[in-house]
Amino acid sequence: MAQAPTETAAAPILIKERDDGIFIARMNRPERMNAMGGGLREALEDVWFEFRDDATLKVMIITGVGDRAFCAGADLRENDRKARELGAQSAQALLDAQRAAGIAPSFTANNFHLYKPVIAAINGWCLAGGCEMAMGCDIRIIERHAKMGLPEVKRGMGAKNTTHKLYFLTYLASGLEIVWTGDPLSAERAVELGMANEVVATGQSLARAMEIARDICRRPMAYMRYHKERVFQSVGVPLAQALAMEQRFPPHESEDYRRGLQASLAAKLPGWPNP
Amino acid sequence: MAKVSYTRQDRTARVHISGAQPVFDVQMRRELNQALLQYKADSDAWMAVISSDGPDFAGGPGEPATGSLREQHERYALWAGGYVEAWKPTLCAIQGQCRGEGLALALSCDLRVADETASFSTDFSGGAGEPDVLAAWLLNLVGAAKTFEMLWLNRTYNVHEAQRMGLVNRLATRGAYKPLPPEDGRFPMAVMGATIAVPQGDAITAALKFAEELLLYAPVTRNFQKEIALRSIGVPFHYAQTLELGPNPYASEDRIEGTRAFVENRRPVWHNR
Repeated sequence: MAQAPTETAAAPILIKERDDGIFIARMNRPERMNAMGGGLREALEDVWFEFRDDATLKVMIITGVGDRAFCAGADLRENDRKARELGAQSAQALLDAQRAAGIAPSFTANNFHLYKPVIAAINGWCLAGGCEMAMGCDIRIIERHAKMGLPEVKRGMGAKNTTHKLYFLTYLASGLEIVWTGDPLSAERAVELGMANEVVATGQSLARAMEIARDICRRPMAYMRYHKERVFQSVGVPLAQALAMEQRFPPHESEDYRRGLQASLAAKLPGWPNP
Repeated sequence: MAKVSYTRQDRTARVHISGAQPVFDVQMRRELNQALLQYKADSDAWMAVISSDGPDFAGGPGEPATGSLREQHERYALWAGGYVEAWKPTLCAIQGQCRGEGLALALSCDLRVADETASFSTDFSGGAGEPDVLAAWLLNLVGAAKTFEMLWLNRTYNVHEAQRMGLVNRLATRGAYKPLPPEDGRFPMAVMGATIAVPQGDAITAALKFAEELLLYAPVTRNFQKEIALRSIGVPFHYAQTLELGPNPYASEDRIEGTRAFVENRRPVWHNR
């Protein structure tokens, strides 16, 4: 059985807040570097769908509680304890048991055809599954003291879900170096290589992510979704096909476009609705 | 005439080109291809270092582009830098000039270690005999903008410029060896380095040192990552996420070993299965 999220009124493991179309999810296991255990993994799986399926929500921000870690990935102590409890004598048996228990390894926003903007506010160590989750977001704001890394190779794990997203972000020249050394990148190097977008001072990632989110909220959501969908659907297809896809689902036929056009003509700030 | 040898010590294979000024001819391409296939087939080899003698790593073709198109095609059928599908790492040690087909060979490796003397050029002159694999490797290694710059402007890039572009992963510097991490299972989480210090400051020793460091970590994961990386190229994004390639590290013995070693504070013993 998948472990139920251990949310309580006092200390939910995933703190969820709404701020005028912006959905903020804060991983709340600072004593375990916000590692995915104690029900956090399951709570995270649910939260992507909650955001995706709520038409009033336009932008999501994911971050961690505290200043030590964004998310350190899987909780290895809990994983080891569960492996011993399941009595699995092989990793294949363990994987089968985990799959049967509904513990899905897919916890990044990329996996769900989620075409709304997602921002990661990286407030500290961002490792392994936590780094995969951040790379699954569309924009990454990283604090100066934070580090990003994929150390799975040091533990015999896989970093499967977003490995190809890494090569998409950094190209092959650096991608294999990152996954084979398992060493973390400084915030500045992460930006140089394309793994993060902007470095901010310690403690400022959420504030900067909110600024960006508010700016995005002022834009037509039909276009934001359209661009995200087009980017991902343009990967791995012939250029001519990618260009031809631009003709599908044109946002200028949407209600957003008409309202924006009318507002522009009237020299008013556009109050973009959800499409 | 250059000769290519294949040797192995413990888990590290060496593919070494001997000869003072390696240039590529039919015989050398055949030997190089054979050595890489030998590495692929050698299950005891978990990592390979590709290196050469002399002051320069390698230049371009050693024979003029003459004869019919068919003859030229046959001569170049085994271009260095062509694809040998081995799902385990290749490291290239580069000193001096790395040009043309030599650059293609270096780019076809997964990681590149170079010393201060290294320089890089596509050596594209517009004549026949230029390796046509360069464009494909560059596009995937550094992106389209840099690819056109390197192919068409035919500049020579020094090692620091190449490292900024991502073409060099580690710069060999002169200094004492860094000790391997203690055997307490807590691999240090220091920020990823840009250099490797070795007493002579040479690329080959540095590449072997880099291989030694990488061998501390799980081979199943390494091999899986390479297969995912290369087989995801040209594949639609969401389809790439569903690819089930190679042995799944999450179903491997090494996954159990890695987690237990971490919890028990010891260095893991990998089995590559």
